[in-house]
Amino acid sequence: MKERYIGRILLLIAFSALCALLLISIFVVKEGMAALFSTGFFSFLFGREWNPDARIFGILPFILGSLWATVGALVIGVPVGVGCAIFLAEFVPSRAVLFLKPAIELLAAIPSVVFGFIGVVVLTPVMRSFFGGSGASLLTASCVLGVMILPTIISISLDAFRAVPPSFKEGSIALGATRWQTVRMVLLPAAKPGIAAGVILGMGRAIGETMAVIMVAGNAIKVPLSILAPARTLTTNIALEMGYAAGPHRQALFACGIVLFLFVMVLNVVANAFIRSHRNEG
Amino acid sequence: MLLLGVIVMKGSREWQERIAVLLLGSTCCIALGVMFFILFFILFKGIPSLSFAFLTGAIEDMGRSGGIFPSIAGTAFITVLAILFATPLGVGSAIYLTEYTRTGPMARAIRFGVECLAGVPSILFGLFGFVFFVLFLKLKWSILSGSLTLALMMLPTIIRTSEEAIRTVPVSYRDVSASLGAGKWQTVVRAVLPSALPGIMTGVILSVGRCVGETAAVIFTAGSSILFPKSIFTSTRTLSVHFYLLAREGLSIENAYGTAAVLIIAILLINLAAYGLLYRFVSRRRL
Amino acid sequence: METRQLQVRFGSVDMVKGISLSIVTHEVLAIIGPSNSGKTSFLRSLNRMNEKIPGFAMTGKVFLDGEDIYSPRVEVEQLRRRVGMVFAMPVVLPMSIYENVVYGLRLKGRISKQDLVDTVERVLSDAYLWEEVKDRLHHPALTLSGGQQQRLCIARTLALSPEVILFDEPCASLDPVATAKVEEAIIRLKEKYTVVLVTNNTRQAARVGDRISFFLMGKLIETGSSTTIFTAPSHPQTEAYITGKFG
Repeated sequence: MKERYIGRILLLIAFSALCALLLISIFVVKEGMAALFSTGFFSFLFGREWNPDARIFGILPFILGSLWATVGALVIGVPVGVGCAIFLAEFVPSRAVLFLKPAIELLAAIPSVVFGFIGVVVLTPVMRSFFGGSGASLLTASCVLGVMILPTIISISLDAFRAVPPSFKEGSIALGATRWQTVRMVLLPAAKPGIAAGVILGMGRAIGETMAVIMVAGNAIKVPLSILAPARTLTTNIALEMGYAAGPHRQALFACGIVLFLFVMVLNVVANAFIRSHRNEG
Repeated sequence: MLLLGVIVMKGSREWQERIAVLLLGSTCCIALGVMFFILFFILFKGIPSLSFAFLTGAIEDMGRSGGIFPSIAGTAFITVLAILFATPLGVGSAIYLTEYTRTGPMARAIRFGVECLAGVPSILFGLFGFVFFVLFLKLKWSILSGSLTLALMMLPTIIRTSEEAIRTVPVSYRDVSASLGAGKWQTVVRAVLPSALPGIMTGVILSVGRCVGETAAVIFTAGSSILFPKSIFTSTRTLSVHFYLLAREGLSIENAYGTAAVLIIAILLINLAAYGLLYRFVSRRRL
Repeated sequence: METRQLQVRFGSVDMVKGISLSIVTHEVLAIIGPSNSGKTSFLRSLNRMNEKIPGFAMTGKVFLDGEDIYSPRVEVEQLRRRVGMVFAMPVVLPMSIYENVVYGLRLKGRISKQDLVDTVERVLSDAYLWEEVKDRLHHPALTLSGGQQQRLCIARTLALSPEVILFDEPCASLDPVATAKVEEAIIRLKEKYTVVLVTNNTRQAARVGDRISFFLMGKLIETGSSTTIFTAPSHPQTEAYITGKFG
């Protein structure tokens, strides 16, 4: 008898995750929709000026900022991360890796504010001496983000390489290939789905990152004209102005949040579809 | 660089191999070097600030001097409360998903919810927490708001790791338990959960680590009061928030490093605990 | 126990095709036959364990002491305490030996510590395991050998004082020495309990069984006393199986 009740209780509990999602969607959309309607969806998305005092809300600068920063982060993080993973998987004795892998995963747990701080203290002066200006720019943010996603990419790529059946590699070596050739022609293609999953995860982290980017990206409101320009991303814009925003301003920030969420969803869907189509080629 | 690139493309096989190894090795060194540099830099600069007074003193002058005890306490309270909320919900959901339905529309809907929730950036949780807990539920900036928000953030992770842990329990345990006259829930509690517990706890502990480092969601829900939190309805500033504010406002570089060092050490210890548990779990299984 | 026209189907496959069989109290009934003849499916129908497999459907009736065990009035958990089961692979829960044995008892409700301790000694003796483990009752059960683990499983089932015990190829994973001990225990068990034993090993059936039933492809071919089956079986298929012509 008691069993049936417990089943129902557990069902309710399990729905909590779904409920939470619904709640979040409802509240964020409710607040943000008003702004989207009053400004108009397209002028919101593609508007080049963000001026809360004048009630002008265009988030193109921030969309561009998020894009630049994320792409930059991937350009830095993926080659280095995958290269590192290859090296660890194939050219480093496995006993050392046994100790290194948990260490790398530990590094993934370092809070983002710490990365941001190091970026300010170490990287910004370097940028300043190379490129002038304040040193805070999308490039700096890309570097910091790139380093932040390194542990994720390395860890997941390493797992992907290790999951490749030894018979694949043995077959290649038996045909006289060098280690690098084996890596290039056997290992990489076989591990591609796994690596891609890691990259997607890293990308998600980069797009959603707020605190570190605030500290090093310069936070200018204008459309960033190059990667050296200071800029805001969708996330930092929300974080910077939320504290004192009210009324239509606050609604616009929520609309910003809606766009951010859509961005993340779209990217995930596209990336997953990409993986799936490649897997079929496999 | 270009020369190396050319050699990789066109050179003889031995040279290709050597250059490739060189390049890969250097990326590895760069990657690991940078990451470990960050770790040691913070510890190196921060540990000198760690005195007993620092760890137990109150925050003075907006952080320019004094200690960080209120932050340590606030972080501890928020984290414990968040775990208390998230764990029963998460483990319960995982039990439902593994023991009571595997497929079917219910399970698919729930799993969809979990996946989506896992992809939400932390700033959006902060936004939601602000509008829902702080304003709508009138909880104001408080430990309660902060921990509820953090609990929602941790829910997907706990559900995923618990599900995995429960799945590794052999089906035969459930059969045996049933043949001895146990009902479904009794089997779960007495045969399945005890086996899955280490895995579940590892997931919880890792989530704790993430909580401690979380800033964006917390700053908008728990506020940034520098006072020692007297109840769960008062605002507090967690270690990561305090660190962020110190760094951003440039108030005291030493205290910033010190706070960061405490943060990192705490997270390291938490993660080491999780790995230790996992190791014991794995080695006990091998018996 | 008795089955009437029992038909068991999983998905679209009929595993048991209309078997009617009576089991006499305090006997050891050995069910023999080649793999996939429905022996295990039949056995699991006797304690309603088949219900846990998706796609399970059944017609016919199964009676325990004249009562239909599939009637909605019957509480499944209670039934499974009256009809216990020992599986082919010894499945020992990750607890101490003591905890394993009292697992089923704890589920029933409050029992005094003294009763638990007495029961543990009694059933471990019945399973021929007491002497070997009496000094390490609180050690993890996983430290036991395969044969000891299987005897622990028997003791665990005995602790619930069942009326019928079902054995599903209990010695499949055991060496000859361990097998002998388990067989010894089974023979002694019939004094207090009724035993149904499914086995792939005809010689084991001969050693242990009072009556033998021969299953082939889901059908009951022949049932008879142990001596009759092995010396003068009525069906040619029975004889062929016993003499090793197939299976």
